[in-house]
Amino acid sequence: MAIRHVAALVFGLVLAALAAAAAPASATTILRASADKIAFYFDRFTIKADGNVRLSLDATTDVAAQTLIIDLRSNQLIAAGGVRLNHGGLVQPGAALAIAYNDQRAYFISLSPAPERWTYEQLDFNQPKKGVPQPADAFVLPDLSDSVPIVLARKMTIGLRSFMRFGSCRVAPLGGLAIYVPLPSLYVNFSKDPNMVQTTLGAATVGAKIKLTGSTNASTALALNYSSTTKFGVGFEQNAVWQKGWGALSVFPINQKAPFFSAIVTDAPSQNFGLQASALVNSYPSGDSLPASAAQFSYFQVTQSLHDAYLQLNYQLGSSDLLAPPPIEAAYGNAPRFGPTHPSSVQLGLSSSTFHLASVLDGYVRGGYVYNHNGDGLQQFGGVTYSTIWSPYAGLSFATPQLHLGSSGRWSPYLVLQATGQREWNSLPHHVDQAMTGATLTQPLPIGWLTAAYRISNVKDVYGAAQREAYPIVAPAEDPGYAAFQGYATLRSVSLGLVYAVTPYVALSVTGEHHDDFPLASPVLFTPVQPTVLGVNPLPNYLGQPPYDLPVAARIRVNRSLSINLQGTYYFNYFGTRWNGVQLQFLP
Amino acid sequence: MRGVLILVWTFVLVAQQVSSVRAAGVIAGEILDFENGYITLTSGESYQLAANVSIVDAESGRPANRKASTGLFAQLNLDASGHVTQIALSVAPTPSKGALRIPTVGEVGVPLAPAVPPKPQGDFVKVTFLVLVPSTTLPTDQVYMSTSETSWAPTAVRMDRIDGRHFRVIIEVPVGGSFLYLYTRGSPQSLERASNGLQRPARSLTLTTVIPQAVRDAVQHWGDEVGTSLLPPPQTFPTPYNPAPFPNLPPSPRP
Repeated sequence: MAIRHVAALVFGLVLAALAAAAAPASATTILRASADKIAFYFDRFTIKADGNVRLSLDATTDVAAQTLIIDLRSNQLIAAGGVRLNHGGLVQPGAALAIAYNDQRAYFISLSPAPERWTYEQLDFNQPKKGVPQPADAFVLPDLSDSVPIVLARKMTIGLRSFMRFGSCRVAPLGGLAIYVPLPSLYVNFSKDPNMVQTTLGAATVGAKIKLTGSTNASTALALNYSSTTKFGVGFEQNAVWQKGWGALSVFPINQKAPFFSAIVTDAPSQNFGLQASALVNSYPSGDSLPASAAQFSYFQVTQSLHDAYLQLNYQLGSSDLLAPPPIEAAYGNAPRFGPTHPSSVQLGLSSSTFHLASVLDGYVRGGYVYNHNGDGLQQFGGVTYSTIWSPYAGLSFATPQLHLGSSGRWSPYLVLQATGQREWNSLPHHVDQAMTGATLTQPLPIGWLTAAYRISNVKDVYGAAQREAYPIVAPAEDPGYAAFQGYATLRSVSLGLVYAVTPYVALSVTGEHHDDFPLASPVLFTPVQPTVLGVNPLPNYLGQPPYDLPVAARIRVNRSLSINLQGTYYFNYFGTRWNGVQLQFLP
Repeated sequence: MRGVLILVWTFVLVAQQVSSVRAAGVIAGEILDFENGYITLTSGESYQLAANVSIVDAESGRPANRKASTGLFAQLNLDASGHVTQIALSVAPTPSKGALRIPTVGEVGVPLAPAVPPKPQGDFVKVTFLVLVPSTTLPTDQVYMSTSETSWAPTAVRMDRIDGRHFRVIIEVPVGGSFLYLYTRGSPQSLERASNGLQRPARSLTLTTVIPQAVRDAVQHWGDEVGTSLLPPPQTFPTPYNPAPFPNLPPSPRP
């Protein structure tokens, strides 16, 4: 039954996205062009088309020319060479046509038969105005001789200030290097709406997403990802945006047996009120009309802004087995058997904006109430299974601005102090205290800066007299000292980092860190190194941090179409671990 | 740089042309069009061809083996009546040989445009972005910029932490258009939010000069903050309820 509701929700989201995608792009100017050769220069954000150019400006106006230049940053185009401006069936020969969309003006050098300069104000091609002053650079062609196009095609559609779409094309995945890969189509979004790249796809070790088609408010992408858990997977994603919201749907991996169906939709009905809903379904096929097993996770988020704060309600529901058990064991086949648990939680939280205390401290407070429930039990303690746990919480943060410690010659160091504390009370009688205090001392350098940092985090899970009941003595032979751990952890870190960053072309950072934690790092008890996924930050309060590490990161701009990010952490051969989390990105 | 030179060169030519001195001489420029007995340059000026016009290669002086077409550079020899008697073609701008002369109103049909200085286009400016992050940013968090120039990829521009509260990056920003950006902790889900907790519109930077700039911003909230936890990453089922504040406690006999 539950799967029907989830399926209905996902289906509804699909319909909403498709409806949004089908909505007319009212404010976007659409240009369609074909030519013998169309090249997109990413570094200049400029398109150049040569040979038999045909450009459609709107339903009644089109242009033929030898060359077409479209500057997508300034929203200007120039059609030149044997221009034939056809408006409503009336063809006007000319030397060049320039259109400045930001100014809603077009400039035309007519050859009828002697040269004349015409100006079309408000892009009204019915009323040429002669003798109107024209900008000196109206017809200046850009110099693209030093650029390498990243897309070559023969047909394209452009939504000004929004997107470009190419038909059958060749793409240079490494910008600036003329190595091309054929694609059936390509969509590039450059709108001011960042929500066109919202995603419901998971992280990958190696991956690429190719946007195959799209419009002003929708796009369709193919994802090729590899990770150690999913191996090689092919996915499909559909994005849609509308005036006050966005949605994204994906199916991944469609080349494997148990794909994830993911959907997320967000809407802000007013400037002070927002909604977000998300659903994730993972089903395992049985060969029958119903899957052998299926799991889902969904959440619903409501945000109401207040004066200098906001109130947010989050409802999360998980179902690790959406289906009733099959009548016979064999029906499971090879499908994994999930435990029939249905955890849910409701969080009502209040978060303040940053407030300032006498220009010396910046503060931030938050608090709320958390309700967790699982009919099959959340926690066992004292022989009792707790299926519902309430947890009010309150937190406070303070930080100083940059406190300059004077200046002497080249030395002008400054200090930043931070302190954060939070307590969470639980209806199952224990409370969790988390406190972090930190200081950074930074010295700007001619080549970048040098930063020394110290921080100490105290995390206490306090059960009072029942402390050892919650944290029983565990003393493995390999690490007997862990027996002293009873839910109180102290994580200390001292670091010294050097960042070289003077130009936009090269940046390099190296940080040496020493961790002095309790409980001590132990490869027997803890995963030696926290797995690193690009774009996912490390979990807080992670125990077992290796005592020494050296994060290194480099950012190199090879050319205006290609930059390379390289990062990783060296662990000084900590129980065989040298480098971890090495990531290489090729970016535009 | 070459683009700038061409722009300035074009501007100087147009500015000189406005003064309308009628004399034979030489005009140079980039070709827009060549048809109907006229050659039109990117300055917007058209010149009538003499009946016996010759087209030569600018370097060799021999008859050109290519057609005068859009994008090529040309040096035009004009006679006393303002007609083009010779066109010397090249693929790059060449310095004018002989005295530059300026066409008259009669030659181009209509009065020339006012000499409006060209807007800087196609150039990039070094911009230093310094952002103050909210105190919910953990010491181990990485901060990125997501920009319209990089198709809003959330990890495209990695920033460097310079102290407990600030991240910094130096990038090149194009002049002329609007550069749109937002800060993120590495995923679309964590895109910064406004002080009211809702998604904020993209930040905008429009540069009109080529002077290096410095921009200071402050992030109010991150998009993935949820009460005492974070939203799980996409396509990830949340970990089961964990009563302990440690994500990786080793298994132990629990009561």
